[in-house]
Amino acid sequence: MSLFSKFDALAERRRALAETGAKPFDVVVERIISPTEAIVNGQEMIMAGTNNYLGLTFDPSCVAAARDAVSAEGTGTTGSRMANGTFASHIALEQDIAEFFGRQSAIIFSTGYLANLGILSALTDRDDVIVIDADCHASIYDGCKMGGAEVIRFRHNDANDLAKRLRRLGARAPNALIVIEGIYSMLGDRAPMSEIAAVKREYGGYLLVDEAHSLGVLGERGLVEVADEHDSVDFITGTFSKSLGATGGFCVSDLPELDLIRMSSRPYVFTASMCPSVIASTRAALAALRKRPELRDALWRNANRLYEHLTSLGYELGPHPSPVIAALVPDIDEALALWTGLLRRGIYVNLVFPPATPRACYLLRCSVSAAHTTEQIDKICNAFSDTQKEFLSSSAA
Amino acid sequence: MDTFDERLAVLCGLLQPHAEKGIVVTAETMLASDLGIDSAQLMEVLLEVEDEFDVSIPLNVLPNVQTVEELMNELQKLIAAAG
Repeated sequence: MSLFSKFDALAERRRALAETGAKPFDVVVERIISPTEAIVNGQEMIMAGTNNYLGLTFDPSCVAAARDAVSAEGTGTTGSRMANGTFASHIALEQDIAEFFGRQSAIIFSTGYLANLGILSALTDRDDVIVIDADCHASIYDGCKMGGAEVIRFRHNDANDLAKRLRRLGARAPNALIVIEGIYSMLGDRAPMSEIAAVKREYGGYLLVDEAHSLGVLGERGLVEVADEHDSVDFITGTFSKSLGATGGFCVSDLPELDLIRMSSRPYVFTASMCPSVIASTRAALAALRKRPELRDALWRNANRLYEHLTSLGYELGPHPSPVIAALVPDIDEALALWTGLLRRGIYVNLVFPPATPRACYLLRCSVSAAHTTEQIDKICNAFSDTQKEFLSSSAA
Repeated sequence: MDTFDERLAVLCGLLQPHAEKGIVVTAETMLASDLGIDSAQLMEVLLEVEDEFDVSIPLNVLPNVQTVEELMNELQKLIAAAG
């Protein structure tokens, strides 16, 4: 039993995958052209798996802000805020985010993953209990594990199952932390926010909502805003890496204790802080998100168009249109054939394997952007149609 | 359904439909290797088990649970704690 024996099964899966000729984990973006186009394997590609929901990565205001900041403040902070000091721009972004969400305070983290890791691990310890939706992101699972709290899952998007779990907790329920997401990353489905908030009001507890995929997508601020549940939610986490086109993460809250978490969160204390250029582009993107609601309109037009087309082709998708549109494919051979067929036709989507997927299915996961033109969406639709036809005729032969 | 053996029989019955053909689930059955299901599928099966015994199994205990009997031991503790 060597140090590397644990990788044997993974190595075997990778070898078997390589034998098929598909290389979904070896995609190199050789040149990025725009929020929706790139050169991949020497071929021009429409990028339909980027999470670049508002298409702001090349927005002139964001690029200019980043350029100015890197000229004025340098390329990096070279360390953590606790050790090396907080830049004025860190404070400014925290004020922007807190004000944007209408909350008392905010903490920013170097990535969205670290935001969940940093908040969950510092907020809870072995005396606490966390009740999480079963389909929560790995950063939530990892944050729970790092804190050492008792972790209980409830069935995905099932408020009755959450209620059952809280009932079983008895006197511990009012101190439990419930964790859900605004939009779930695999199928693009959203949490039943009002039902979950009602359960929380009945049993007590604290509620944390991760708006990573819903910020700027559902309303301006995410699911909590569109469900009108501001007062039911104690913590909102999220990322700057999707609709804001940068990198970094945050937590906002009205609870005064949030600032104490800053002092005890290892993923906050022991890592380099956000660099000035990323802070600057994030702040510019946040301003764009607020000033330009037409971006969200374009995003939803594109999402609805692609969702309707994939539905018409007979694919099983998430339960409702969303900028994350994932076709569930039960068979690996079909999934690989479709993914490579799309790539050959100049369309890049994500291929996701179990166990990261619901119901042990394979996912052809698209994410739509406001920056996609109608023509690009139609090319994606046509590529799906042609690839499906090709697969069906080759299967019949 | 109050004794360990009675509950164990119920647990084996819940797990049996998920076992590979030819495998009879007993106390010694290894949850990961003998049932022939991956970790995500096992988590789904555990939801059924939780419903049956009206307990919530903390994820924290699972790394120490390899056999059906070890799972039953954890369930016994949870049932006792629930009173």
